[in-house]
Amino acid sequence: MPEKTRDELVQIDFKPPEREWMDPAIDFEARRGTWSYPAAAKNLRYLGFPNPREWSPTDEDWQLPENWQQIIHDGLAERLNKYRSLKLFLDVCVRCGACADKCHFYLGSGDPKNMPVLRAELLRSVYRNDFTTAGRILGRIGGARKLTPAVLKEWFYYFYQCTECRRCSVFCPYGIDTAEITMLARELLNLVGLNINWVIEPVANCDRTGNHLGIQPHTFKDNIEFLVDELEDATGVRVDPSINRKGAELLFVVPSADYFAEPGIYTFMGYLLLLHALGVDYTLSAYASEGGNFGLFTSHDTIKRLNYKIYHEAKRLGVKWILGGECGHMWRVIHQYMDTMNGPADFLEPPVSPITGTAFTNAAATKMVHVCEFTADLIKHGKLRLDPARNDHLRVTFHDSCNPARAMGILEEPRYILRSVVNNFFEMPENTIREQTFCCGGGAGLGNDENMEMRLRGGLPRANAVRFVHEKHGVNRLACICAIDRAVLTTLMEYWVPEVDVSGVHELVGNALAIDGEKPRNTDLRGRPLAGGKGDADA
Amino acid sequence: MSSLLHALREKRAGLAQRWAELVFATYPAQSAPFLSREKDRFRNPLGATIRDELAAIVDVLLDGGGAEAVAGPLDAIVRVRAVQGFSPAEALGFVFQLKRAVAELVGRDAAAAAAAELLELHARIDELALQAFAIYVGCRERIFELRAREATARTYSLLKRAGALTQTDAAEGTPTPSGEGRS
Amino acid sequence: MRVAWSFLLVVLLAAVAFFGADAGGQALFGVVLPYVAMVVFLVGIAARVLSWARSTVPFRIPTTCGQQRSLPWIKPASLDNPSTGRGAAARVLLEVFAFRSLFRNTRSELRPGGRFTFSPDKWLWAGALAFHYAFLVVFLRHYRFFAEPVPAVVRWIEGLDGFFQVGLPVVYLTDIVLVAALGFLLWRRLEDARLRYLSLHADYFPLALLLGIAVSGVLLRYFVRADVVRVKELAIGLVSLHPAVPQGISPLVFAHIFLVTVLIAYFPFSKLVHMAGVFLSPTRNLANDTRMRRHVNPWNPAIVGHTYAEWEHEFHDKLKASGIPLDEE
Repeated sequence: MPEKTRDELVQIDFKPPEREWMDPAIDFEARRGTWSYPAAAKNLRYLGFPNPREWSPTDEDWQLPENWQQIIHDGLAERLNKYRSLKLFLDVCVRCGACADKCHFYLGSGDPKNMPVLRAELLRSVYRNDFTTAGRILGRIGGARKLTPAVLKEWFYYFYQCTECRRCSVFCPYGIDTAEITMLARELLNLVGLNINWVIEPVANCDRTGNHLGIQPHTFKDNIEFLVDELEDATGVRVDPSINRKGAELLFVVPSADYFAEPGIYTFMGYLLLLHALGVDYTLSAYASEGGNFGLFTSHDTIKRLNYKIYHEAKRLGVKWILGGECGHMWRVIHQYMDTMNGPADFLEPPVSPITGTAFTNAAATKMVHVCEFTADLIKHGKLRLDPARNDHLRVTFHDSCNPARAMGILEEPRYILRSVVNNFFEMPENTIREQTFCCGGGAGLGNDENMEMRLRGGLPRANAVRFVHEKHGVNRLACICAIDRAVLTTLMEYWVPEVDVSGVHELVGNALAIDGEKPRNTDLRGRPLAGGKGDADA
Repeated sequence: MSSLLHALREKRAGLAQRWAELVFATYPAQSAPFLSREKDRFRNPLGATIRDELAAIVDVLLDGGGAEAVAGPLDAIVRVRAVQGFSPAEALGFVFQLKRAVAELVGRDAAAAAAAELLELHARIDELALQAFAIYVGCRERIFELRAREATARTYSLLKRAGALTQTDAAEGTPTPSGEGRS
Repeated sequence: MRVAWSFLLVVLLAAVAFFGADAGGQALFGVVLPYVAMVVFLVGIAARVLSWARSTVPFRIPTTCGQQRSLPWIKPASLDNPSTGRGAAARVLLEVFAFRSLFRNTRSELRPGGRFTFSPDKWLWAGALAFHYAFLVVFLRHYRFFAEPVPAVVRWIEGLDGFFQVGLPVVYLTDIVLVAALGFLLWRRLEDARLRYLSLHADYFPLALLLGIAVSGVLLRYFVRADVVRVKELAIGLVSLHPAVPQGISPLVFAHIFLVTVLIAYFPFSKLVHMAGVFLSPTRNLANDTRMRRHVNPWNPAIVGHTYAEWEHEFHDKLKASGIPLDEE
């Protein structure tokens, strides 16, 4: 009987064949949904990047330049001299495995090459072969391998499968940062024309028009005006943001998704309400209309090229200092690269809050302040009239975005704001927040739709923690301070925890903020009714 | 009382565990032990989901719950497997692995049980598979829906409402905008 | 299997020294090779560190693992997210002496009642720490062979290490810890399928070598009983640069010495350079202060982006039509 039962079973042997990690074989056709489309030739041409052509990863021949191996070898040699990080990280890894289960892509997929240590070994093995004596002599026994087309294809697959979130780096005893490895590996890939369109097109757009979406200045203005109308409908308050106005005290730079895509627009409305309520003298720029910087996902030179606009515009407009909106990788660039690349910003003044007089000494050199630092300071000084009950229809948790958490450390400011503007705030489990926060799965240019399955896999650890607080505390709102998060987590939630919406922190500030001249607020900024039919504006 | 079910109830935990092991074996061999052993549900969301939800399904099955009772746990597992690059057969094969787990655990007892009983259990598992199939199709549809919506609706909704779409498209030589949230 | 090759190689090395010394190669294994290894080590490590130092640090990229210093009323995490050079130095020392990052592993568990508790998951941290400290103590204890009279510090360490006064000669705690920790680290690498998958010869060989050194050392102290006086004569000869090879030293001593020699010579070319590298890691040894103080990139390329003038020129008519202020009419 049991034997017979066995015969009836559907027997599928799922176990992949045991093969050494050094023998790569990526079947791009079979792995659709886990890689991104290559950059369109026109975008590469516009940027002057090498090897523009139409191709697909499923092609056998990737149409590389004839001497591609030499190009990559020379590129690596150059970067080993330029970046101590790279040389050190390639030398000192002991493969202890502390990072292995820290990557969200590994946790969601089980694919061992998504372990940070192996992702780095993909490059390290070639480094050993080309640049170390032991590797040259011992070859494969010494963990070295030649850069073959198959290895290069594997690089393309896995280095565009890392969101540069730095979570592994938190746990590494030597601080090896896979984000750094990935950034430099992508620079090498770019040298031979291996890049993805969802990174390169925003870069091209941003360079030309000022923002990722290629929105031209007149459309930018129309958009802002449209949002001002919407905001007036919701609150009865007419705000008046200026564009390219010389002599303003502050230049305000936000990620373009905030004035363009849902749900970022509600965050943008929150900013505008806040700045209006306080009478801050600020201007937006249609030229520097992008805080985000997809150069970070391309090459260091590209970061600098795109970031150039912010100081250039601040100088032209003659502002005193710069305020920055809620965005993740934007703040990595501003915090860790901007001053070094495009400074010194000696034409600006050390930032001081015009409302409270607080000097933001932590931004004394770069002269750019995070809007959460700005708002937390306002609340601390009692400069805002807040009615958190207007957010009572929401039960909120906070997702620390990777870059603000692990490349800056802005952890308490947004929490302080949230606790002031909502009554129901719940933290996710502690090994999923703050410096241990899980990535949304769509950073570093991977948030495109063709890569959806990988995003949903990579987003599983984050979604899993959200589901936990949803079930335990009835959480229905996931707040974050990153524009990529607002886009990617929205999709992620729709798949994993559809009861939870995503928003920026300043959308919730906008809900709670009481302003002179506003109409009775029956709805939040999204037009959704407030809890308990609450209509009174003032607390 | 059915003697087969009785025997299985006695070995409830073992059954769930064996079933989970069989499912973990469908993941890369290097990762299967981690998925199976790491108990922290936040450090190992994939393993924890499979382990906990399979156990819940076993409970429902043995305690005579209906399709409704099993929908939640089944959904949780299928939702994960629907995005992990499995073929449909691979993604859903885990349901049938329960038959193997049952056979391994109570094979000898089953020999003594009436054929009708075993048939009934297998029929129940087959129903489970059909239910899982419906969920799987729903998940896949959802994924395509999300893709389509990301690619079109949300990208252009605002521009459309602002009446600016035609101007942008008409703009000569501008790289076409696509994809929201790039920032 | 990779691990078997590594152990085979270590056994082979030990055998070469054992029989080689027995066959009259004491001078080779006791003097020549140790000197060569020392030179290789010093030159190799210096070259390695210099090569790291030659590479520039263009950007300030600390991994921040705690609250930044921003507003005066928000408490910064001065060790995990230092804003000063001193804080960064403390962070590196914490990493070097306490393995701070490995310590971060936590495991959450669902307790009855739906409560979550976080317990440390510290096996790797404990194993690594145990090995490194035990090795350090054993290393320091060996100074008794190189100095006459034996320095008080070394005696003090020995006393502490043999605190329990078990056995004759007194069993050193660190001998047990060292072998146990190495055994654990090896077991871990073999037992965990993921680690087995990614481990290279270069991961097993140092473990095998260290185990070989530890086991031969233990044999010499507790079982074979080398002639300590003569070994010390050899050791002092080495450090005083007047090498002499006393007769009658057990060939096992030479096996032990040769394995150490191999370790020293292998060191600069292996992952063991992490010992020096940990101090230079840019994600750990830099303060998170880039917005406060300018960090200079020595090769900052002269890249100018799309300028405002170019932009205004291109979109001039549209800007004008929509009433956005222009620089030039």
